[in-house]
Amino acid sequence: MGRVRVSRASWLLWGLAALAALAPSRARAAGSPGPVVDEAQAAELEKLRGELGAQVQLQAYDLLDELVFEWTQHPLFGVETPVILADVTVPVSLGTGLKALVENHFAALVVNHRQTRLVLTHCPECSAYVVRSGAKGTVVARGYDSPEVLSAAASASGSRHAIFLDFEAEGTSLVLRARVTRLTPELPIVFATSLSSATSGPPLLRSEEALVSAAAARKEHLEALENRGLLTVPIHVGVRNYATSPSASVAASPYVWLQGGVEVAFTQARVWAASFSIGYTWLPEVHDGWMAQARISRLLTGRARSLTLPDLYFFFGASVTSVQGADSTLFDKEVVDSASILAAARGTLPRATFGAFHLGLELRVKNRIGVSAFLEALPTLGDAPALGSFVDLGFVKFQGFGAEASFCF
Amino acid sequence: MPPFLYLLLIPIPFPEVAAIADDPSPGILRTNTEARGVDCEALSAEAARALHPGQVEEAQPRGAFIESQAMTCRHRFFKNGERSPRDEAILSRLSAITAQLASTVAATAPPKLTWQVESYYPDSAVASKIAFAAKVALVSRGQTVSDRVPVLAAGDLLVLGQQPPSKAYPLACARAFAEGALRDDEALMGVALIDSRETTLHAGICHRGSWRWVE
Repeated sequence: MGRVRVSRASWLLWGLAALAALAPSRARAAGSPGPVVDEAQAAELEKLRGELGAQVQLQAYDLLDELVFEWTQHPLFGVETPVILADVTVPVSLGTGLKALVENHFAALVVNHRQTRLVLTHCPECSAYVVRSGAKGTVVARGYDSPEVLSAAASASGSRHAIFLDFEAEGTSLVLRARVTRLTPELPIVFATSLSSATSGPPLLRSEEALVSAAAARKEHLEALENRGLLTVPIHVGVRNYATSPSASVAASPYVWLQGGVEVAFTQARVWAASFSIGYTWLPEVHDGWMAQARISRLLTGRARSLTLPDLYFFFGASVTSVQGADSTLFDKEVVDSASILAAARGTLPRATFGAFHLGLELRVKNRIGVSAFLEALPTLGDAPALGSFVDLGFVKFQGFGAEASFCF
Repeated sequence: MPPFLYLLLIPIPFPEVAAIADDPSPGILRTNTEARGVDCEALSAEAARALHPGQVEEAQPRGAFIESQAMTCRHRFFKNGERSPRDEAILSRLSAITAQLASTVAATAPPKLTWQVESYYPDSAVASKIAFAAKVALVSRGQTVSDRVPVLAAGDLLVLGQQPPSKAYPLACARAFAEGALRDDEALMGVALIDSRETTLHAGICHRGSWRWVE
């Protein structure tokens, strides 16, 4: 029987032996059990690995996109060349299937971009442990560590080159290292590169069907955002309710308003916005009316509208409202008397026209849907005897309270 | 102006106050441990708007009352304690460490050598990443690198395992050359963790049966 030869593992085992001799003794008492990981902890650990894998995946895809895009611009080979994807390694301690995702994405990129002149071929022997005996000895090694195995795989698949990909998390950056090895006995590395995800740049999420450069992808992103336009058309469905004084003889009905108008943002960040709308209210046999309203909104959550999270706006506005109907006597400055009751009986509906200020908060999602609540002050009706107040700050009374749902187009 | 209108002034500085919540430095809203988990980079306002569209307020035509600075931060992929401290210390600086080692090796070794690279580290997964990074670093410095590794016989390994590092590395180098695993025009770059308590790597060169540490 020939000598037993161990390839890559040989020097490593020898190094391990040297390190073991140097290692300081651990402060663990003899026979004491090591840390026990129960099922719940194991599940939490796996969940954590999954979350990390999801974070890494987008950046790994981004780096692969950049690598393959570079190959489309500067192909490694002059003619179409069969290659083996020999090995993909992911950050140490991540075992979440990320490797399979990376392999699939890389294969999709290469298949969709023939300009790379790479033709992927299958190589199950590359990642398997193989035992190979020859005249010089027996080798136990992973396929891609054994020149003989790789040569055999190359012969079977027709490939003469192998691609190795390695991802590693270095602090906040993900680093992709790639090398291409020619599958001859000398195993020369014909290409090697290293790409790092910059701290300052988010993943570009390029389409794998037609790769574009990073600059072009960023430009597309910006154009998509900036084409939102500064002008929107909001439709508000809201209800306003007014407080009544304890001595009032009039029951206040809620006013349901349908409003429509335009809203203009001053910048793409939509920190400030102004809107104008007109509205109509109608409650059968009770009241109807119209309203004109102007409003200025200020973003509270951040310095620019969020693309992914709801935004909270403070708004202040003024309105002019005219209502007529039985319950509009609520806004009369005088106490309801018999004359007004008789006028109503003759079919002459009481009418009230007043101005109001309102302020409130609006929660808006992606500038499409919003809900808001506000308080309304009717400064010209401070002496209306039937009108009460929800909030009385002394210097200002808020007689009305309202809520709206908004849909922006 | 009616007094209640002064209420309208309250929300105007609110975004500036809310921005404190995003401040990555330790303080009221962020502990030291949380602050250590992020890496931040200062950017110009223009670069920040380009890289993070919609998240940085556009420049006002008439300027701003408060001078603001853009700072982009990203959480570390692995929080402290999620990986072995020594592995984390090595892996988080792997590019810098291997670049330094490769530069030194390329500068001190004879020209026109074909390099083989091996790493000696307790964890095999980390060891393979170190070797990968070292190969890429050598290639990027114009060196000719091979994916081959020197193979020693089992008997050699038995003897080497009983030697202290000061003797083991030179002896292994001599045996590799003697057995023909390394030829005259080939050299081995060994990247090793010499002491298990340290958090950096060392490099040695094996050429024509002679071993020497270079870093």
